[in-house]
Amino acid sequence: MRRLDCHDRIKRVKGRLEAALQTVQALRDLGAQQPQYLYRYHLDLAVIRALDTELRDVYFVRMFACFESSLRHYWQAEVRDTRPPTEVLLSSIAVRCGVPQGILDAVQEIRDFRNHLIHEEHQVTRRFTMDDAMRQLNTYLARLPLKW
Amino acid sequence: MAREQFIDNLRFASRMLPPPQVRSDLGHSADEYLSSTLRTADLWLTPKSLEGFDRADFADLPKKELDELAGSVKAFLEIAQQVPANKPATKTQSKQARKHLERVISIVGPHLLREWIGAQQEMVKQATAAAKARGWYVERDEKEVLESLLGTYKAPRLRIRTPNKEVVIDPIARFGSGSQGVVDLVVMPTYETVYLVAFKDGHWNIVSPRGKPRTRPFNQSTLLTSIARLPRP
Repeated sequence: MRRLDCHDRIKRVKGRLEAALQTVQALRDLGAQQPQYLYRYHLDLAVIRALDTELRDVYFVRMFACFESSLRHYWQAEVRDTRPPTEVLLSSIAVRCGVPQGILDAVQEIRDFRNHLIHEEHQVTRRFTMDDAMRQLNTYLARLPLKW
Repeated sequence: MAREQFIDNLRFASRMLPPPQVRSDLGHSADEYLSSTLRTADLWLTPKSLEGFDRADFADLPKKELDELAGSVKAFLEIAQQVPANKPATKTQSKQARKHLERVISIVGPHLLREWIGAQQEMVKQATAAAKARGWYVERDEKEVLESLLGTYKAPRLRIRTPNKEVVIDPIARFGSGSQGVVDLVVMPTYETVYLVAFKDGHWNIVSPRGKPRTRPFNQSTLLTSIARLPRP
């Protein structure tokens, strides 16, 4: 696997989110101008508006999944054929690849935030936007070798 | 511009050609019914799909291929013009028009891809020469890209390391917004896009995507200046 492709997969998730958000915006505009379309499909504008936030959450989880699957691939190819919990995986690879502690801390917080999005009862210390998270995940990933 | 308009119309039509698959919560038979309704609508069977075609825009194609392209466009348009706006096409019309449209796509798609890859190779060659002249480390590989009309292809990707920075010239799409080809200049380690290297009307430009858009022609000197202006990681 090539590391640049891992960066690229994360970037593509963000691209797809932007396309999905634009689609929702188009539907919202259409619904405001021609509400009969919404009535026909039993939709209302409030539901469509809420999609915006939901999509951000869903794509955030997808982005983290992309990141995690790259790390798991690296782990199994270069370290050992096991499946450690994500928290352990992040810390172990960080030690191995010399990831700065500040970046590892941020990535652990992103993992925590991802858990919060999946299991809503879980409380978080810090919230992340897609852009913030993407910067941190890529910075971590950049410590891995170019190929493995 | 008419050429780009035609290409854009063709690209749009090519996206509608595969049989649509509907997945809803209404069950398999409803999905089948909706898919079949959409399929018979033949949304691509309209003169708009090939609007803007001008034989002169493809004069660099071999004559045999050019004749075939012009013939297929003409044949498609003749059928499309016969289809009433308020009724679906007949099966024969649909089948024949599809055959002509697919032929147009099979000629135009590979032609555009050759142009696009050629333009990227040239740009990457310039970037490599500029970086090597400064004694910077350069590594080239390929990235797989999937686009409508062009399918899956491999485009050149370049990693440049200066003594204190690292950037990647990362191919994105022949069909970017604003009818331009787009390659990103991303900065490591965050992999953020700091500049777009945009291809339009046969020329490459370096575009700053943030704040007030700034465009400079791409050449060795502007590329080096753009990299030098990036903040240190």
